Amino acid sequence: MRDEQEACRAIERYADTVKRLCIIHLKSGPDTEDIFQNVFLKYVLSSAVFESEEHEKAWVIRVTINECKDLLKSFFRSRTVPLEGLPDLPAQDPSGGREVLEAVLSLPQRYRDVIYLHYYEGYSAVEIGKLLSKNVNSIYTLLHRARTLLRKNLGGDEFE
Amino acid sequence: MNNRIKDAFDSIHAEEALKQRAKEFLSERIQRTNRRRSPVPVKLTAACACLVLLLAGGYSFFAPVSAISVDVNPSVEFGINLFDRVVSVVGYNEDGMALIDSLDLKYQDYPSALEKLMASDRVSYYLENDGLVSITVLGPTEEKSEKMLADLFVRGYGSASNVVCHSGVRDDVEAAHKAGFSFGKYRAFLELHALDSTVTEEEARGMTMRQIRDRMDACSSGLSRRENAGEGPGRHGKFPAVLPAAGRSPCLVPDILPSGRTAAT
Repeated sequence: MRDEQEACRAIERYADTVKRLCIIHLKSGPDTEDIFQNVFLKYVLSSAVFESEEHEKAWVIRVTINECKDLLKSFFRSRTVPLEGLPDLPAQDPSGGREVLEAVLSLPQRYRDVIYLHYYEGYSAVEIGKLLSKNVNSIYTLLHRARTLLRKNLGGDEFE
Repeated sequence: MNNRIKDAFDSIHAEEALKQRAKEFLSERIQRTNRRRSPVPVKLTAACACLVLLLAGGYSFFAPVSAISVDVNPSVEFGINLFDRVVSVVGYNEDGMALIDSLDLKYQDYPSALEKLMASDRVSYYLENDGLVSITVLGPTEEKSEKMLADLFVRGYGSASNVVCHSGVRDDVEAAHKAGFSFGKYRAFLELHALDSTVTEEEARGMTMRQIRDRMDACSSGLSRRENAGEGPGRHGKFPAVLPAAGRSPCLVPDILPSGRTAAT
């Protein structure tokens, strides 16, 4: 079991990553908080030894995605309707960040992860395949389709 | 455009309040878990305490605190624990050893063990042939001795003409065992020795309780030692009823009982 100091360090380092993944998967603020606490509790309780910071970050991403999926599958969640739409999104900025974000979040669930992991976290298709336990070709396909949809939604041909 | 996605996600940050709540939650969980895990010294102390209790319990069960000596010719001593259970049975002569070998008396409450012993073929043989049974009790305190003695009377042992009950003397126990006597028989030997100082331990060891009692009676009534012992109206001649048939050791019960009992009557 990790100590309080390690827990605080992990929160400082990975809070934004966890938050972004929560926004990709969930639409409710309280759910984000639950996931936040569960992920870092698992981190504290885990006896996994991380070889590097990259390894540790991949572990946090994997656990966060799993936690989000578990929450979405839960009995209570599947029978309730969230009151709010897209909470916690940043206010409109001049660079059109909110527009892009809304376009990403409007993608089907299976495309959002790969877009985020590829374009934001910088993982290659092979790495995303390992992280999500999916075939590399499937990742390529998902990326291609996601790009097509984004291009359609946002216009332009920058998504290559 | 790739940068637009990066910029869009870059604008998302976990709020400080969210991080703070997560830190507080984890801090509380970590402290609770640490509290639940008792430190090693506490566990060690608890284990030691359990061990001590276990040993103390075992010791108090197996340690004899009281004793009962039953002497007829078989000389047997029960060690009795705090809970009035027989925890040791020792035979102090050949007859006594044969008797305890034939009975399973250990871990029974002492009244049951005594009853079983008295009902045994060997003791019955002596009782039916005018033998004298001496039951001597020794408790950890005088009160306990008296209580045990009273219990024997309640159970009718004291009212039988050929059963005598006494309280033992704690100081004599070591000397008795050193001399190869049960403390009950040693008590009788000391009484006899007080009346007739020529009686040796060796001689007393070979005598039945009836023989010792009759010898004491004879000494008390002024008869000379020569008249009581040996060839005169001596030991065997004077106490024929208690002894087995002539030529047989006076100390031993016939080998086959109870059929041997009918032969002796």
